[in-house]
Amino acid sequence: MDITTRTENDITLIAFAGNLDTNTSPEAQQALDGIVEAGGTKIVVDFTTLDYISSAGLRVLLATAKRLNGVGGTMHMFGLNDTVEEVFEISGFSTIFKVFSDENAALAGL
Amino acid sequence: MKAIIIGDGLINEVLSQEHQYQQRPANVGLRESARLLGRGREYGQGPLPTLLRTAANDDAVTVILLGRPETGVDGEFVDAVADFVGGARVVPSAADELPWSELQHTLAGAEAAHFLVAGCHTEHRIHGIATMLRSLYPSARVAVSAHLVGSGTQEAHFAALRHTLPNLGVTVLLDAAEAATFLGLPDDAMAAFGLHPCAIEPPEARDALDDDKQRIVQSLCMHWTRAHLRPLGGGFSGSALFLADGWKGDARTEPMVVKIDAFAQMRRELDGYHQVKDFLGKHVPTFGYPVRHGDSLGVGMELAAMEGRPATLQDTFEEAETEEIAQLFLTRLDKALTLLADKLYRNTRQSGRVVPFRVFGMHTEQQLTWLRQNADVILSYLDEAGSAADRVDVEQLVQIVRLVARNPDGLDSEACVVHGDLNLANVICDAGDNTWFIDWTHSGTMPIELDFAKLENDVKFVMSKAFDLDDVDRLKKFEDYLLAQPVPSDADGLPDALRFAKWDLRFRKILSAVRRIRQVCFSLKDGDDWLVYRVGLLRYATHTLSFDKRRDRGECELPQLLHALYSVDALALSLVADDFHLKIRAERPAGYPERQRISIDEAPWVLDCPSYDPPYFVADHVLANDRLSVPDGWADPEDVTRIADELADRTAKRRDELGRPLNPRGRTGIAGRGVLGFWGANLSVAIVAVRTNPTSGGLDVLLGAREDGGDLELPKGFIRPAEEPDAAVHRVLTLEAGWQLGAEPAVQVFDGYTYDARQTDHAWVESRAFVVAVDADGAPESFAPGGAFEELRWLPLDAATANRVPSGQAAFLREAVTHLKEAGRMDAGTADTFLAKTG
Repeated sequence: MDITTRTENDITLIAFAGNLDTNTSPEAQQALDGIVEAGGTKIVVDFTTLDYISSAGLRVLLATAKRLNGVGGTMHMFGLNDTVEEVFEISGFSTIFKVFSDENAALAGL
Repeated sequence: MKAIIIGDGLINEVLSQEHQYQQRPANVGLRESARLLGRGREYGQGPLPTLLRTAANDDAVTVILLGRPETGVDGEFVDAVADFVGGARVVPSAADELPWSELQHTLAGAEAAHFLVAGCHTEHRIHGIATMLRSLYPSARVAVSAHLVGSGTQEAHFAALRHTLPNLGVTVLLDAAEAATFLGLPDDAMAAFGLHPCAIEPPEARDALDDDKQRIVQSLCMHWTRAHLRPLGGGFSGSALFLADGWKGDARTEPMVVKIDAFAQMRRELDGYHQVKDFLGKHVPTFGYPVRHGDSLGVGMELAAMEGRPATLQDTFEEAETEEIAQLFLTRLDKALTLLADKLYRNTRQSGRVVPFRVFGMHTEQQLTWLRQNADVILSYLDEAGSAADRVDVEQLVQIVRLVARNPDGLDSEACVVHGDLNLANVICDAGDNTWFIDWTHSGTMPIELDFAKLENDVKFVMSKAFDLDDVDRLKKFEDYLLAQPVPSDADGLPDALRFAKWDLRFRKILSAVRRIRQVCFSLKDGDDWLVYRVGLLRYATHTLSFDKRRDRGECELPQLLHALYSVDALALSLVADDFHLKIRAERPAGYPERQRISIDEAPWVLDCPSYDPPYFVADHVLANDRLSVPDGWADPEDVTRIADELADRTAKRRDELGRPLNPRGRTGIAGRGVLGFWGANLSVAIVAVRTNPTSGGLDVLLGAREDGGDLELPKGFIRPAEEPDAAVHRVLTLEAGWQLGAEPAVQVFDGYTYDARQTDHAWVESRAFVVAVDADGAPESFAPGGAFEELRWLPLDAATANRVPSGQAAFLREAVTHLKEAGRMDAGTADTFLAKTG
């Protein structure tokens, strides 16, 4: 899976491409942990190029949200395709995570 | 009228030791006769003649003698009493039967009477007479004075008096002077006979009891002169639980556990006790007969074969500030757990379906409200203290708990008879390490994990009072560790980050206890799944948040409350990421087959799922209402080839090989249409009718309640083929509420897929929600329900109401509020509060 990150002011944007599943979740976890460990507290996750997310991927996001909670941080997401949105909807994660329609909205909310 | 009823059934009913082998009746009541009447030179000066002389001055008091004064020995006592009263009425009475009709005849018209039962009786006879009086004169007051009845077997007699009579509605008077007062006679002459009720010590224990409860203690300890009460835990639930030390004069008696509670509660306790005593034997106290006064019921329990002074396990835990006592605590805890596991849990264990969030009562809105309130209060304390300890995102936490707790799914697990409220104060130990379990009020067949989770909760949060705010960071780490695996390691195996717990007895005590509690618990289970255990922990930790000492609701200080809050936060996240949660909800209406369980990873249609083979279900009444075959039919035909063109016109993201639309939210575990009429989307209208409340000026929303209870719901109904949504709104409101709308506009605020338990792979619900806002005078006050509802009424349009409707409809209310705010019908502040407090 392709993971790209960039930083704007104090906000870190991270984009996942491909599938976020059992195989790729350790890699994703590592990338997100890296941001938090470097002191990042505002994270925007770009799902525009993400095709599919599995339960393992959901756990990665949740673990990051939990770590951020402890330090008063926030994580926003945007760009969910229909499949990913469906998974969020069914699992109820759409009520836990702050999901936005596009990048501007996600950034504006921070 | 007032009457003193005097009998002498005792004389020929009790067999004395001396005479029982001769099998003939004997008069064993002489000693008691003499006590009541006075002996020797004092003959005629005893309490009974004194009472009768006092009564002779009062015309309102009648004396009735039950017996056969003409027949010699059998009537000896009554004969003697007759000498002290002029004009007593005599009701003939045999020893083996009660004079029902004779007494009724004698007392004709004695409504609103006071009856005092005195004389010599067996306990059976007293019951009989008291019951008879209560039956014949239901509005009468009946009393028995403990000091005006004689008995050949004093202790048994006392037992009868204190235990059974109060439950028959008969007052037991504990002091001779009270008997005079009962009849409205001066009590000074009777006061000389002393015999005061048992004294309750210390004063603060006595003062903590209301009159009814004091009376119960005095009745339970009628044979004692003094009772010294020591509270045993509890105290915040309204019940009174004591260890009572007693004295008879200067002689020390065996202590007794006394419990007094509201009648209904105490009845449950007695039920629970009888349920478990067959299994736990001597490890539950022996219950005496209960005594009732007012709405309170009390019972005395004896701790069989007790050695030394008893103490609760909580006492031992709190005293465990040295290695030695900590070890004693663990030994006692271990013994208690082993006893419960071997004798109760293992013996009553059964496999079955457990619906964890429901069985632990986590699914209610009230739990979420309490969680939010208590967490806010705890964090405000933290701000006040200026502490830098980690905060918790309360809104997110509540969302997560709501999400997991709404999961109506069950799993195969184990249940057994459990204590139901097991905490360390409910375990009593003595010097000989005997163990008793008390307080069985909440006992019943419940998940096998319940008692263990409660015990762990209490050990961690309630009992551990030795922490301060500087410890909470370490408590948080420690708690995260405890929740990361089913059985934590011992102190030597702790990860480096937790090495502090090895050297700090406060932590190590908790670690050892939690480890042991979980080891025993999981040894009773078939699988290694600890989901139910964690849901139990969540339930109890959430409850602990309210045990706030500052608000006088419990014993917990801020570090304890914060520790529990961290635990709730960690548990919620662990549960939402659990496979159990990530299975798609299995909710289904009555009549549906069980859904095939699938995980989130198997749900999307885009992913292959070869093992997916769901049951096919279409309800009979759907088949019977085929619109192509039946004139008023409202359902599609089962054979989709007959409507192939129409079906092709329906919007659908995906279709199966027959051209049937597939549920846009993925696999549901059931194929077919279920109870829904149309293949694909079933269009529904939901009506958010809003009025201005004539009294409060706020907005109300119209909601209906179904006959079978459950959530409140908006009026709603399916749109008929070719029907305009607007027309459907009018039709549905007329049908459901008997309300014919005028020209008020219906504004659509929502259009889309709605979660509905009836959904299947081939049929689902899409809703259009409309707001209909009417003026106060345009809105009817009452309704004529003609559809799904039993009753409809206006409720305030606020967050509390929104939290009582199904989640799909709560979303409609949120859209409606946004619209009303924009339209200027609802003020912005109220609307924003609503939107903040709903989800």
